Amino acid sequence: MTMNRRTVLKASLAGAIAAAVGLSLPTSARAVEVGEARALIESVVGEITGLIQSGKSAEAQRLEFSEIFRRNAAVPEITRFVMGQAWREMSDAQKAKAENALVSYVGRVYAGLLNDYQGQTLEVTGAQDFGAKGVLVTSRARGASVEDSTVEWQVSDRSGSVQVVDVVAEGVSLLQTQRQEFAAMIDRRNGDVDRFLEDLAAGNVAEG
Amino acid sequence: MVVAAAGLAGCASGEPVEPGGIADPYESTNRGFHEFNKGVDTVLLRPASQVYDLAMPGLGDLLLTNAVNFLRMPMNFINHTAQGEFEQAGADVLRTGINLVMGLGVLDPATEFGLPQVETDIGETLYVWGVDEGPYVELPLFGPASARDGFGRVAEIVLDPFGFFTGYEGLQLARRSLAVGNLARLRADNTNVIDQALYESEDSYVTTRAGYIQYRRRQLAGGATEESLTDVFAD
Repeated sequence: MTMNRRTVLKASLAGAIAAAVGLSLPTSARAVEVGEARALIESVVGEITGLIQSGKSAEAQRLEFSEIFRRNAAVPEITRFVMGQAWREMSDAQKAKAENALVSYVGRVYAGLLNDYQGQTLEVTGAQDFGAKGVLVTSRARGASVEDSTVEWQVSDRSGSVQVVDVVAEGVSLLQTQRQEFAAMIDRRNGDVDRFLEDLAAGNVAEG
Repeated sequence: MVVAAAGLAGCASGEPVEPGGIADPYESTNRGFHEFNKGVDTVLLRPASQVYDLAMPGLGDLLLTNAVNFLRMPMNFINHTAQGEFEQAGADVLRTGINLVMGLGVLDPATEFGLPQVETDIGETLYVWGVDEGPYVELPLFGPASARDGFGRVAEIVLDPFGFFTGYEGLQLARRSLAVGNLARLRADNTNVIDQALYESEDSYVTTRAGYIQYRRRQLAGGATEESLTDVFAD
């Protein structure tokens, strides 16, 4: 599609209207600033890049990734979200167990995926404000031998501090996907949440 | 065509679906087809894509991609027109003319002139027309789809003037070889995502479903929307 004069005009008009509407709205105290969100992701991306290049053992990378997750993400809210329907019937002890199981699961699964990004650079390229849902910060993974891929970070401060609330890889939300996977895994264990949490913590979750 | 698609989509209504989810009333049938498709991938498609990756030279890959894009033109033109995207439909024709005359269909000078390939399909046309997404279906050989997309995908095979079952007799063998080569190419281009969904996930059926539906909704919406984003603070 080429930009002709008419589309340029239309786009700038739409921009002007959007700006005017934006200005007339009262600023929400809860909406995270685009700049703040971007700064957080710059730092997270820096930490992850450092981890990929560190050459540490798989075990050390796993623990460090879990730590990065715990420090930068809204872990309690994320745990509740991915546990889905099961959360309502869980005891407090199970809820606490779920949070720890998730942290170690994330470390194991995503530190493993980091190997796919070996030799690539991850760079923050933009950010877009989605109001109450937060800010979506875009990063591009670039490598010599692979196609570029996009990883987006949804950032919100609704928990009280600026935190990552979801990661979207190539248009696919990890949380939404994980929530559906967890529901299927709990189903397959006949609704036995304790067994599911033990398997999750132990890494005993492969298809079978 | 629309009536049939609307009829299919009509089965959708039912229980409320969570974010990134889709109604899946035919899950047990779908799972059966999923196992079949996964088997086809394991024994045919995945090995073919590995051969393609190793053996296909860069130039061959480029020419194949261009030829496949070139033959997509009638479908893209019809769909852009049906969507009311007349400017883009005109660009489709212009693009094809340039690539035919200057590139014999296997080179792509039109992109250099600011007329890149803009892909569309019958599923997108139905979306533009307001047809409901419908429930999830996994079709044998056609893979994961919403009822709307699945209908579009099957219709395309039948209606595409340069499709698998149509076209001029002399060209059919060439067209079919191209289609097979293209499948291997697409599988090779998306090897990480597909391998992860099929072979490294806890439940490959659920992962495929969740991944496909989110990817497709976003593609149709033209990017992330507020609605598509997760709300971890919701009750």
